[in-house]
Amino acid sequence: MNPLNCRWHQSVVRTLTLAWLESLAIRRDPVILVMILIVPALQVALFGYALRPLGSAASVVLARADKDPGALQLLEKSGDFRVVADGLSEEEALARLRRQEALVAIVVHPPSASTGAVAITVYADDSDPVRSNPALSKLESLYWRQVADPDFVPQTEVRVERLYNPQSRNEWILTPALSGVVVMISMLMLGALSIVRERERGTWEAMLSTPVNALEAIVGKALPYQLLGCAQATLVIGCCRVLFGLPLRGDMPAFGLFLVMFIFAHLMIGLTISAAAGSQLQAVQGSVLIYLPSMLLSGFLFPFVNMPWWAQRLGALFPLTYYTEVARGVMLRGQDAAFVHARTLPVAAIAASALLAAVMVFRRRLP
Amino acid sequence: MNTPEPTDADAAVPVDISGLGKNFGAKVALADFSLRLDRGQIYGAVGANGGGKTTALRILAGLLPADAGWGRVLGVDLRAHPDWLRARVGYMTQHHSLYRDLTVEENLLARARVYSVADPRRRVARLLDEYGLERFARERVGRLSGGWMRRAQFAAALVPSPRLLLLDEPTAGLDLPTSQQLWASVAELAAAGVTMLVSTHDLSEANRCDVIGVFVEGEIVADGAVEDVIRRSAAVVVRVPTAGLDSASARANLPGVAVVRWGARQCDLVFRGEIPTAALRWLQDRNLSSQAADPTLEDAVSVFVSRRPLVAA
Repeated sequence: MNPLNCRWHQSVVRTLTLAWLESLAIRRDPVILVMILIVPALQVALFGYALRPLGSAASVVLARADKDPGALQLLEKSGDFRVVADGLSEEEALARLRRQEALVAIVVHPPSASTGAVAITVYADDSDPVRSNPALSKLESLYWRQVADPDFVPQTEVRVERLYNPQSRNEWILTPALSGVVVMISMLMLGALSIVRERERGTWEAMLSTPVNALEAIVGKALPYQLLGCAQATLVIGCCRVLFGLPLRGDMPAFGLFLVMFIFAHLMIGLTISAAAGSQLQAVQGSVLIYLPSMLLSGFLFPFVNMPWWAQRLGALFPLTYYTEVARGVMLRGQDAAFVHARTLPVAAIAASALLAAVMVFRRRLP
Repeated sequence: MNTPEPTDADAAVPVDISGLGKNFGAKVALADFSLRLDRGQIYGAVGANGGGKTTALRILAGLLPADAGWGRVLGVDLRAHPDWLRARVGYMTQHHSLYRDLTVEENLLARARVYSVADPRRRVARLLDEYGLERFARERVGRLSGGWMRRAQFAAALVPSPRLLLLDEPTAGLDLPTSQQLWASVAELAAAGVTMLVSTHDLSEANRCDVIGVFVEGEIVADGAVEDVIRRSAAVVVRVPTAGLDSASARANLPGVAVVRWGARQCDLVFRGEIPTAALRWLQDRNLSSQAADPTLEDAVSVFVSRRPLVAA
């Protein structure tokens, strides 16, 4: 059978042809290239240096041999802490911190055989200092209140260790999630303007009169931007590494896969907006409707766990929410592939839903 | 049950449609459009803007689904197989539709690949040669003059070697020589058996068509050969000198006139049917020497288009 007569082959050729067309158009538009590759790097540098956020939160795990109820009551009575586990080993407590199941781990070491003094180490997850700083402050004030108690026997040595961002570098607070915000906005806008721009230029009607179907058109249009998005994300994260010394401790291949899905999801959302929009202005406004709540509800600017349940559910609809978790987890806390994959799946589901929506909205809308 | 995929059998009657209609909300864009065209025939769709010409072409191109009627295009059911038809019908849109950032060759090549043409480069080279586009092959479309851009668009519509070609105002904005060249190409294609529907505002072009249809507000108010359409319009033309005649008084005092077409020294008064006695008397009272003239297609279309009491052209 002649391969040219194979429907799949023809479909692939058509899709790749659209991708080729789009690539040529991008290559010949230097403004778009500057927008994609230069402006984001400037944005990361600007926001990374300029923004100084603060916040609060507190969930605690205790690692100690005896389960003296006094300490537990003290913490919970303060109202500022919630003990989620008690009697853990030190390793287990730290693992829970890494998995973000707790913000603070209090490890009570066995009393010294010679002096009988007790050493306590307080570990705080400083990958999200908006939450950890206030928690440490409250813990400190609790300690000093105890010291002021006449019955207090000062035979305890307390040491505080800030994990993942030990020097409390401001740049490390924002830039992991900021890199996702920059990529999100670019991909949303590129997707949102692509079809509507063609419609306004007059090329869309001619394309619709060809055998190209909705899926081929959507995927074909997205492919070059997908590659551009990957280049942009690499550049942005590279800038974070070079300019701010961001550690990138976790599973990077898994993070790469997550990024591919994250970019694809936003392109699909953008293309859905574009297929539905009647003008470029509408498409831009539609994009704002997506990226504004993404930024506010994803945990990028405000702690996700502090939001009410309904806002968390809403936030779970935006890929940026997962990016924020994954970026902080991989870049600062050294999270493994399982952690990343667990967050890649919902983003893939969002991307697939958006692709379906784009194909359905696409139909054969004429100018 | 899935409708079986049509075959590529050559249809003796490439266009056979009846009662096609399309509404956009409450607006009737096209009503009761019927047409039968043999191979190699050229159909001219004429009429005022908003008459439904583009809607008719878009339905035949598989871009818009018809709300009413039935039809067979290239031998297959128009409503059942729009995808099949899109792969076989050539369509040149009213507006420039090539990618301006791409060269002429790249545009045609992309088209050829999208249409799954067997040897895209060879097909494109042939089209570039046939339509004198070789020297602009590597030129970006956006840098071409309007005429060459339109010619490249015409070539792009021919990429799938269509047996039915739909041309929506192909010569709009073109100078006379370019327009004539394009019509020469149309004639060659017709001789080769390609059936064409051409929408145009230029009524001199409609004279080149085998059959025309006059589209007015979604309705086809007359169709047939040009001579038939002129005869059916019942247009009567009276030519009078312009001296002593002004637009306002003509409008006010010439009952039954469909169109007043002003020239430098004389103007044509186009009536529908017979000239009313009152109008003749009004002309006589002003000592305006009048003489009868043969109605043209423009007069006929003007009569059909002007359903209002008076339209100044």
